[in-house]
This record gives sequence, C-alpha cells and structure tokens, in this order.
Amino acid sequence: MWKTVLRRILLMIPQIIILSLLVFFVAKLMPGDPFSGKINPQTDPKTIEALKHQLGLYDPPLVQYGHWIQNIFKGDFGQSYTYNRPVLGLIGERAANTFWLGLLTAVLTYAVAIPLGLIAGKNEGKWPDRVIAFYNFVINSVPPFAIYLIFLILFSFILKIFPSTGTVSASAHGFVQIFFSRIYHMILPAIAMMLSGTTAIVQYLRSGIIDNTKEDYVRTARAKGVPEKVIFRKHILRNAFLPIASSLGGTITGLLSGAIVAESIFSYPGMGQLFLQSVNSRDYSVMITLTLLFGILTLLGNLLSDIIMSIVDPRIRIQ
Amino acid sequence: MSIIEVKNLKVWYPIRGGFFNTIKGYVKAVDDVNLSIEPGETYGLIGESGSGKSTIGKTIVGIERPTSGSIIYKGEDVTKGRNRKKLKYNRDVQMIFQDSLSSLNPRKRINDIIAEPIRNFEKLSKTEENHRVKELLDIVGMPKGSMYKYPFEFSGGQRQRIGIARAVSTHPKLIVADEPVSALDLSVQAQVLNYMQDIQKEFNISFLLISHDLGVVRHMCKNLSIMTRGRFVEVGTREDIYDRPQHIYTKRLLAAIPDINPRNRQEDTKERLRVEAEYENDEKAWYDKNHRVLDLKPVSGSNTHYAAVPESNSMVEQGGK
Amino acid sequence: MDKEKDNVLLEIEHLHTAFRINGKFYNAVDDCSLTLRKNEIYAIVGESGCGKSTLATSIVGLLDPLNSKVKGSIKYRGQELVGLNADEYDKIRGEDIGMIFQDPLSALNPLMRVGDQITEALYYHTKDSEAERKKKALELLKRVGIPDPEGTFRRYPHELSGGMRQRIIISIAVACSPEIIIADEPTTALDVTIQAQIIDLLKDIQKEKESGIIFITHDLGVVAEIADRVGVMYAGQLVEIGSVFDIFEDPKHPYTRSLLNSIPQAGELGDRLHVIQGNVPPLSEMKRSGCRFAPRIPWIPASAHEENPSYHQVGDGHYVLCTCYQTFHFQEEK
Repeated sequence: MWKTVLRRILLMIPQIIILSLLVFFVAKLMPGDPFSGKINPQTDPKTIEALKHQLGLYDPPLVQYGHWIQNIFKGDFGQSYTYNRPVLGLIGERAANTFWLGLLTAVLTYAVAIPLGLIAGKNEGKWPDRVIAFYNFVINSVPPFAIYLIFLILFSFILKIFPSTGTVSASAHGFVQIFFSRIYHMILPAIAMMLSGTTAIVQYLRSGIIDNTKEDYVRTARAKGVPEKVIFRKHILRNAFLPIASSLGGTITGLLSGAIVAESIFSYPGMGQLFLQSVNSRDYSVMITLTLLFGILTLLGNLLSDIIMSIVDPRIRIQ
Repeated sequence: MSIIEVKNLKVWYPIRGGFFNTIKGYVKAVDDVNLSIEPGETYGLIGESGSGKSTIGKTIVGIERPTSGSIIYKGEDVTKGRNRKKLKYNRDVQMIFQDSLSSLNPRKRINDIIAEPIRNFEKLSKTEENHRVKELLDIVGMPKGSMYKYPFEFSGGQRQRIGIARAVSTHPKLIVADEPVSALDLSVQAQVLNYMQDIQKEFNISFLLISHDLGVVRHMCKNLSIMTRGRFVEVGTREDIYDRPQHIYTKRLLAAIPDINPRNRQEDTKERLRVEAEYENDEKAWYDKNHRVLDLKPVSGSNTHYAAVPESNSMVEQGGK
Repeated sequence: MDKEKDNVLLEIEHLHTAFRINGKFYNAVDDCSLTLRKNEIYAIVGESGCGKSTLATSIVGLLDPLNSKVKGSIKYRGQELVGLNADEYDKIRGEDIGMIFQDPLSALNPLMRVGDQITEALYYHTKDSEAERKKKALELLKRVGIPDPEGTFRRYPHELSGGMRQRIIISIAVACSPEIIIADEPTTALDVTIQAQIIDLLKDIQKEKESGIIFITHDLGVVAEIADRVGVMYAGQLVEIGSVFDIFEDPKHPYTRSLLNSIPQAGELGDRLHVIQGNVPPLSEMKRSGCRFAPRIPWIPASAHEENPSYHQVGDGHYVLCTCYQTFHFQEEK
C-alpha cells in the first residue's frame, strides 16, 4: 500500500504545478492592484509607478511567475503588501490559530454527532429519532453564516458571555491561563461551526445503522445465537461507521481551510479571515499562497480518506 | 447463409498495476471465439458465471467494443460504426436482459418503453404508433390496458414479456437474449419461452440464447456451444453435446444437472464423482500451460461437432455417455 | 413408540405467520403442519412468494417482531418455540438449529475475517478456549472442503469464490453440530457445478451427524436430488406432502402436476411448455376461503373443490389438500 501512497503523492506534483499556474494567472486577471484605494491621493503618481516597477508588476506575466516559483524554492513566498511582513510567517501564525479552532470544532462535532446518530439509528421512528430529525431539519434549513451571526449577536453582544474578537486576552499570563483564554475565545465559533457540521454525520450514522440492521449478515449472526447487544456492537456499528470514516479526510481539511466565513464573522485571526482580507486588498502573495495551500490540503485530504478507507474496509485496496 | 457471423472475436480488458500504472496483463473475457447463427434459429450459448458468455452478447449488440475480430452482418463488418449505420444494424439487432426491473426505465410508461426503439428508427404518427404498441402487447399476451402502467406494476414474468415486446418492436432479425428466464419461476419461465418461440415463428427472428441452464437451452436450441474461461470448449448440435459430450468440462456440467427422477440419485452422484475425479486427475491435459482452453478440433464421424480436446483424444471414437 | 418419539425433531402444527401490510396483518404462511424426523431431508418446494422462506424464518424466530405475528405451534423435541424471547431463542439458534442462507456473500460480515465468523458461533454455545475454538474452526473448514483452511481462516469473505463462501456458511451452521439444519435456497445463487458439490456436501454432513434438514428451494431438480420428504407449497399452504417418490412419480395435487409439467424436458425441439394460467395474487388480495389453486384451473368445475379444503390421505404419508385432485385433468386432455 505504501508504494501506492508514494505514487499518489508524486502524482500530486503535476497537479500542484497546474494549480499554481492557474492560481497565479487568475490572480493577475483580477482588476486593481495592491495600491488601489490604499494610497494617499496626494502621493506623486511617479512614486507609485516607481514602486510598481520595483515590485515587478510590469514584468511579463511568465517572468513574474518564474520569479515567484524561484522564490518559493528559496523559502520566500513574498511580502504581504498589507501587513508589510513575509507571507510565510504571517500564514504560519494564522495557520496555528486555524488549526486549533479546526481541531476543537472537529472534536465537538464528532462528540455531538456520533451519540445523536447512534440514538436516532437505534430508535428508528420513535420519539428520540424524531427529536433528532427535527434538530437536523432546523440546522439544515438555516444557512451557516446566519447561525454564526445569530451566535455572535446573541452570545457576544446581547448576553456578553463570549468575546467577539481575537484569540487570547491580553491579560492572560502563564501556560494555563493562556490555554483557557484561547479555548474561551474559540468556543463560540467552534460551537457555531459544529452545529452545521453535525447534520451530515448524524444522517450517515443513522441510516447506516438502520440499513445494516436489515443486512443478511446480521441475520446470520442472529442465527448463530449471538446476543443482540453484541450484534449491534460487533456487526452493525462497524459497518455503519464506514461512510463516516471515508468522510474523515475531507472533514479535516475542510475545517482547516474552510472556516473563511466563520473566522470573518467572529473576527478570529485565522487563515480564512486572512484569505478574505487578502482578496479584498489585492494582497497577491498572501492570496496566491493561501489558495495554493488550500488546494494542496484538499489533495492531501482525498489521499487521507483513501488511506483511512483502505485501513478500515478490507474490501478496499487503493490502487 | 447465416444471419450473423462472429469471427475470431477477442475482448480483452487490460489489468493495470505497479508504480507507473502500466498494463501488466489482460483479462481475456472473450478469447478468439467463432460462431454463426442461421436465420430463424435459436443458438444456445452455455457457460457458468464469469465464462464470458454475456460479453459475447454485449459485443454483438455493441455495448462492448471488441479488442480484435469481426462481426459480419450482411457481408460487412459491423464492429465499424460506419457499417452499423448503413446497414441499420442497431435496428435489426436487439437485446433482452435478465433483470427486467432494472432494464426498464422505472419512470416511463410501458407505452413509451415499447415505442422508444420505434421512435428511434421509424417515423410513425401517434395513432400508428399506438396501434403498433397494442399489437406488440397482444403478441406477448399482455392486455392493452398495460400501455399506461409503469414497470413496477408488473410481475417479473410480465416485465420480461414487455422486454420481449420492446425488442421485437423494430422487427429485428436477431435478438440477443441474455439469461432471459433465469430470474423467473418455473411456470412463468415456461410462458416466456413459449412466447419467444411464437415470435420467432411469426417474424422469423434468430435468437442468441445466453444461459447457464442446460435444460432451457436443450429445449430451445438446435445448435449450441459450451463456454468457459473466455473460450469455447465444445460446439455442436444438441444431440452432439448432450448425448456425446467430448470435453471434460461439458461432462462436468452435464453430470452436475440435477435429474428430476429421484430413483437415479445414487447413480447420478456416482457418475458425478467419477467425472469430478477424472477432471481432477488430468485437468492439465485439457488446458494448455497458461490454463487456456485448447483449440477446437472436429470430432471424428461428425461435421457439426467440435471439441477442444487434446491431440491424443481427437481421434477418439464417438461413444455413448 | 418411544423410538418414534425420539426420532421426531421438529413438530410444526397449524403455523400461521402474518405480515403487516398497510397496517393490516395478512397470513403468508397459512395453517401449515409438518414433522421433521432425525436423518431426514425435508424439502419445501414452491415458487417465489408462496411463503416457503417465511416458514423457514418462523422456525428460527428471525422475523421482524414489529411487523409480523406467529401463531400455532413449533416444537423442537417437545419444547415450544413460538413465543420465546430473543435470549431464549439465542440458546437454541446455532446450537440446536443451524441455518444456511441463499446469498453467501451478503450473509457474511464483510469487515470480519472468515475465521472469526466461524469461531463466533462456538463462543456462545461452548466453553472452549480460544485455541480450541480455532482448532475446531480449522477442522470445520477442512470438513466442508476448503483446500487451505489455515489461509482461509484469515481471509475476508470478498476474497473467496461463491462456492467457497457457501461452504463457510455451512461450516458456521454446523459448527455446534445442531440436530436441525434449515437451508433456505442454499444453492440458488451458485453455478450448477458448484451447486452439485454443495448438495453432495450437505448430504454427507446430514448422514454423518444424523441431523434433520429442512431444505427450502424452488428447484424441483434439486428436490429430486436431495429430499426424502417433500412439501409442495402454494399461496401459503402445503398443498401436497409425500415422500420424494410420491411427489415425482405419483403427484396428485393439480399444482404439483402442473409444475412438474412445465419443466423443460429432453423432448423434441420446439415443443410447447406447459403454462399455468393466471398469477398468484398478492397477499393482501388473496381469497382466504376455498381452494386457492381453483382460479388457475378454471376449466375444473367449482363442485370439484372443497369449500373448506382439508387434507386427504392418498397413500402412506402422502397427503393432498382439497378434493380437486380427484377430477383434475390438464386443459388439453379431455
């Protein structure tokens, strides 16, 4: 299997090259430049022109691309025009924030969704199942950004229980304080994101349990005289978890890259927020690097899903 | 003059693997097969699952592409798209499938299902078309009212008859019937087989009957072949095959059919064990070193009977079972 | 007399099994009685929807309790099975009654190694240690003709062929040497050569363990090959019961005779096959009184049928439901 994994990783190289070309030129096609609307109208246009030349904005696109790639191999992803500092350090900082938020969200999501799915599946048609179905229906009918806004307004502005911005309070000192302050800052966006993340998992697990209960191999287990409890644990559950396992890779990368809306609404300084800012301010180096990173994460997520599937399901061997 | 001739047909699927995903070998689903079907006859093709029998059928109707070889219809090779069009091959050759529920579009009424091939190949007015559909339903013994119903409203046997009506709608010359009765109950199977014989007589249609059921094929077919591992092991008339089987594989198949006379039980089991032992003892002699079925050779004393027997066996006298 | 009593493994009396369809219960098995003895293969033969699988499933109590009802009596060596709860049934299933299913791929858990699925049956009915269970499982695999027991023990179901999988299912069913084996269409999904091997294997195992087998099938050829006694089932009822020779050499009931007549035989090419007119009505529309086969043989006058069909003995152990067998003739015969 590991040979196949290596092959898949090598195959990602041309995919990433094509992606980088695409990202770079689409970014170039966008109207405006880093100076649009940013510069004091009194500044001498000649100074701006000189700056633009200095930044290489007038070089032929292919040359610019070449420079960009060259620099990447030197470990230089460029400067952020807005923040006036190297992209790598900036993204690194933000990535850490996003990572912790993503991790907390993932833990919460599975901690809530799995019990709900189990309860719904085991009690098909009875009242717990109906309550959970109603929960799913409500969450699914409200768009995620609306949930985020409701949470922000209710818990931060009206009830003032949670902070509305930042990752850690300035007054926190020492590991323990900082740790709890961080969690305190993340908990609101994490719960909000968790809500919309649970519905699909609940549904998968519920129908997985219901469908597998009707499978022939469950009948075989009963015919062997295996007690019902053991049948549920050993036979039904493992099979019902398969679709969730296969979605795990995608969920993880989704959480790392896909919190754009949530981070912006909760003013949480992660990669998603940075990405939106960089698009708005035409901060090319940041934007391009992030898009490339998200692309690579998606590719890795798919590979991760396949690896997980081949481990949990003996019928699947990745080719 | 045969209605269709399959010559040296090969359908190979590449097996890919290794670091560069290169072709490591082939699954030879069909490996150098010849057959020809006469107008108005039912030709039998017998094989177990995975023998490649369905692939032959699918290749003839054009669902699968041959790797090499030709399919001759009216003197031209219809593996070439140009010839298919010119000869209206897709109209003249139709197919009936095993699973009548999944092969009939569940969202369409019977009317539209049966009329679909007509609409593809002929221009009829609405009333003419309706008239034709009613006629076709009548031929397979379905009431006219079924026109406006959906496939799920019918039993398996009725759906299979609808499938036959659809296949017959363009007045085809050949129908490939892939396990048409194997999903049906005995009494319903009898009905479908009878209807197949009726339309054959009425329209002079040829059938290629693909089946694993030796009883059904013996009932329906004058000529047949036995297939395994993508190759024919034995070809001949029903008397050749059932009364004078030559190849060990044919003998195994025949020995395995349950006999409906319970008094023959012990004898049958004994015969089966004998054949099975013979098969195990010199299996190698019947296949080449790549487990490939040997080439067909004429069986002496017959001009219809061919078997893939080893050199030393080819002169064996024809004897009883 | 005691000996006879000792021989009786299973006694089914007036069994009714009903399913809920749109809120109402309809009998899929309607007043069936039969007796299975030691050393006997009892075939239940009939077409799809006749209730034969429901009959088998009722015996082992594997019906969905919410949507089905079982009435009547099923006695295993005198012990009443109807009304047992799941725990009580678990003691009997696997230990006293083993079951073999039609589709050997779906009947095995795709995520579990074959060996574990066999030892699981032993775990709940024996006090064997893990090593003993494995040893027994390997013996079983060898017994059912698996060429490489050690290797197969570690394999997953999808890595085996259909015939091998059915052998695994059989080894699970006989793991605890049950006195009764219920085989529900065990060869239907298999190729003929494999079918023949499985039939021979079942016959051997039956002789070796002196067990009784209830063999459910739609295939009359298989019945002739394997059965000692036969019950022909139509529309939820056993319409004819007899020895295998009674059924094949002296069939009485119009349905049995019609079925036998519609088998493609070695006759002339193009002979027309016998067709049974009409269809079996769906459960919810089935007429519950009178002879259920009457609508399929409309040329037989109504007076030939009984109003409340009862069993008539026509030979030693040979019974027919309804009087219509006395006057029945095929339509083409006058």
